[in-house]
Amino acid sequence: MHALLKTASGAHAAPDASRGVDPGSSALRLRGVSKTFPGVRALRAIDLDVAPGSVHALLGHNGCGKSTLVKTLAGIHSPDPGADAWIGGKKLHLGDLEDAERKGLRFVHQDLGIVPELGAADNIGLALGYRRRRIPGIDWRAQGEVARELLAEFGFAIDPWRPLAEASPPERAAVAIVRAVAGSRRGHGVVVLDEPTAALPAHEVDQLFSMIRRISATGTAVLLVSHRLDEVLSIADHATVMRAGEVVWSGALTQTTIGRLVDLIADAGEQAGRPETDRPEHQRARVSAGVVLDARDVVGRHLRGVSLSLHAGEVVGVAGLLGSGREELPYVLAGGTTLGVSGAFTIDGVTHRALPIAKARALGLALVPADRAGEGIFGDFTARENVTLPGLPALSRRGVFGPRAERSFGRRWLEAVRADPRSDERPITTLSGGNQQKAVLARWLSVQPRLLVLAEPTAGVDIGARGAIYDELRRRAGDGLAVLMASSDVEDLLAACDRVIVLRDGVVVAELAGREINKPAIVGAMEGAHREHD
Amino acid sequence: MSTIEIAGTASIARRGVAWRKHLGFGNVGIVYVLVVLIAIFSLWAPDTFPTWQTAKTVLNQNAIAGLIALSLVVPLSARVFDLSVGSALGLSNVLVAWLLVHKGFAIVPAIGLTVLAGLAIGALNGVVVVGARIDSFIGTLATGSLMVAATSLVSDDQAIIGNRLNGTFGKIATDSVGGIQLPVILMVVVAVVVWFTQKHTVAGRRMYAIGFNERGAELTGIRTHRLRFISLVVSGVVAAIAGVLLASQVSSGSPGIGPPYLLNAFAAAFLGATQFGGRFNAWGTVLAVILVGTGTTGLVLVGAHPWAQSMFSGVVLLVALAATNLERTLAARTWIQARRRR
Repeated sequence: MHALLKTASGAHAAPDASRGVDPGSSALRLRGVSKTFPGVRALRAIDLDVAPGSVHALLGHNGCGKSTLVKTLAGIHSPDPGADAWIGGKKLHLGDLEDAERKGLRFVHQDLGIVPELGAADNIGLALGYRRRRIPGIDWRAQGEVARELLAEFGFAIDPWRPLAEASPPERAAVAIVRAVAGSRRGHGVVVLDEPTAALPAHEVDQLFSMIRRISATGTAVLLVSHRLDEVLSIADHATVMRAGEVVWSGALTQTTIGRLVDLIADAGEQAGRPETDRPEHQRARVSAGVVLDARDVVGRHLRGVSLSLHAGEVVGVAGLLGSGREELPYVLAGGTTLGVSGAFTIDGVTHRALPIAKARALGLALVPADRAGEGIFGDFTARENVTLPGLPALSRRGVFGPRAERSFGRRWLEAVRADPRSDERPITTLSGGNQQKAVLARWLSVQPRLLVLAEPTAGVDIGARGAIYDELRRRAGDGLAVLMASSDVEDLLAACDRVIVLRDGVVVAELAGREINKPAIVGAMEGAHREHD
Repeated sequence: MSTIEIAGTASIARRGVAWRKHLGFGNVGIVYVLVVLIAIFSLWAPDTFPTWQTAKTVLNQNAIAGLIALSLVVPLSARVFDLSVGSALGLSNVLVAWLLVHKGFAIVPAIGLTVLAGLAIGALNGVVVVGARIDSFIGTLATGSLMVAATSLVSDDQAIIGNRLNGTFGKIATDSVGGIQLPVILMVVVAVVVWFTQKHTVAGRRMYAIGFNERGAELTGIRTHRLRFISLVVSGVVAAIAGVLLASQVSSGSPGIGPPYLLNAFAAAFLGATQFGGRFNAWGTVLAVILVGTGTTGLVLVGAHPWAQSMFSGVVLLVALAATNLERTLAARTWIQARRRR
């Protein structure tokens, strides 16, 4: 086992090994995998070797191509011609999920794909087939035993009949992982875990890790896609770093440091070489206006005591990985969620214990939600109706508004955010993601809020519209609006923010202003490298 | 079919062909079907069908069905299903007769009390659906069966008849102005009110917003609970008014008369929602009621079997829905092709 691992990692140190190499020593070997989408080259000639029994981390920032790579492996995308892949020395037809399954490649996707209403026994049975009795029918007792034993093998004691909705998040993840690996033969196969810890609080990760160790101990290789560097270092033995669709580093983790990995991921070299004039001018401006919202000791599902002040005329960014509280904070501050939230929110000298939506709106707080399709737009409304909805009372007398007043109001605000005002009568779903987002932005600017809170303001938004949205936010901030934007895309924060707050595991771990706002600093704080740097 | 195709391509985004958009099959398709229907029946029964008398009959006989259908449009716009309107219609029908015949109430208080009962019915639905957060589809089915029970209780499962239902009270729904009876006028009034509310008031727009995206509406600060509650109260009150008119029209309080209205009302509301831009709306619903009414009246006049009437309603609904779907599919396809070319 050890010898095997050594030879494999030897092969690893030279990822550029020529194509003629015997592929038998790798559990998974990729050569020249490229993927082109219209206008984008998402993957450029990716080479990858995963040794049997190793835990191999796939690292990289949003948009680096690692999701595309995983989806290509899973057969969701088919690669450009010229790609080769082997599993355990056998040629794999990329883009064919069934072939991948047969050869021992398994996936656990981020959403786990379990049925939460059913217990572990059913979830395992649905994937691997149920135990049957001789008389047609399912042998429920045997099925329960199978599930119990499989889970026990990996250190989990779960009642196989209890609905997974009631189980803890690591238990749910365990069921998903167990059923993925249960079919593979000892010492064979590869399991791809796509951000298995993303939704877990830090203290629940350990259980999952001991499970991953047991899997790799059987000789099955684990390809781990993750954002959390410190976790990766504690569990993985090899890593591959991707950036802009290319592999920029691959090797054993003993040969590197967390600081070097952060630099590789964030492309520090390029950042340092960037001329100072590239930084937008606004970030040198100092803010002296008054505090719009002061939040103290905010606790929620992920947040564990966050305090911050937001000033008029200031654009504040919130960075953090999934589960850090970054997704939760905007909703808490703008009234989008009150369940299980505590804290003190001071606005105009009045302290509120909670901010339900009606109160938040009355106090001049507006929220651009993260899930545009599910929470942001009204799909059956036209663009105009989407824009004017919260502004209608202001246009009305006794609840009645004139169609002309509404139309000109809608057009005015669409124009204000640089959207085509002539698209106002089109169903919003026929607009591009960027224009939809502009309409949502127009909606909330039209009520003239004091604080605009945005969650993922550029998700699914094209590059041109992004620029327009940043400009608009900057301009409104110049007029005295306070803006808070939480984004998983660091580019957003670099482009628009005066100040960036970095969350990690529910607390503020860094606050960056002016020149400190750069990619390595933000990414380092997000991924936990700050401890080593301190 | 070619009408559909033309309308399909026009309604995409090609601006400047407004008349196609307004007169396309997807917008006022019911009118075209109605015209064809009138032409067929006029040829089939040239002596009896194309007369004013037929027109009046269609309107007068379908006004109550129209009111019930309109009562559904309001909650449906907020995606609330009120499956109890038929039972509410039946209960108020029996209640007003009972108050007049057995309790000796004067006409105005009896009607007033019945409408109040409709308000209470709506509030009960509101408590169940909004307060207790029971899915409206199930919740109003349950309250509807409570109302059926109340109907039996009040009427003793016997039709309530009496002279007091014939005199002045009987005239309410049968007196006519130029052959048009009061229920028709009320239907038009309710339709105007619903149309205006949905088109020009904040409350109406917010109800649609709730129907299209409830979580989004909540995040906009709309008090979704209150509006959904109100929508159920509206349907309860309108159903009660329809029940009073029904009692006057048939001069009795009959248990079992209400529930059959439910399905046709839903059919009309959904058929109406395919018109005038694809939302639940007043005029589309009224048109749908008239379409089905014309068909059934025409079938009676040509001496068709009774089963033909039910079949007609079913076929019309299926064809109309299929045609709208087809139009949307064609529109979507043309839209995609247009994008691909760009």
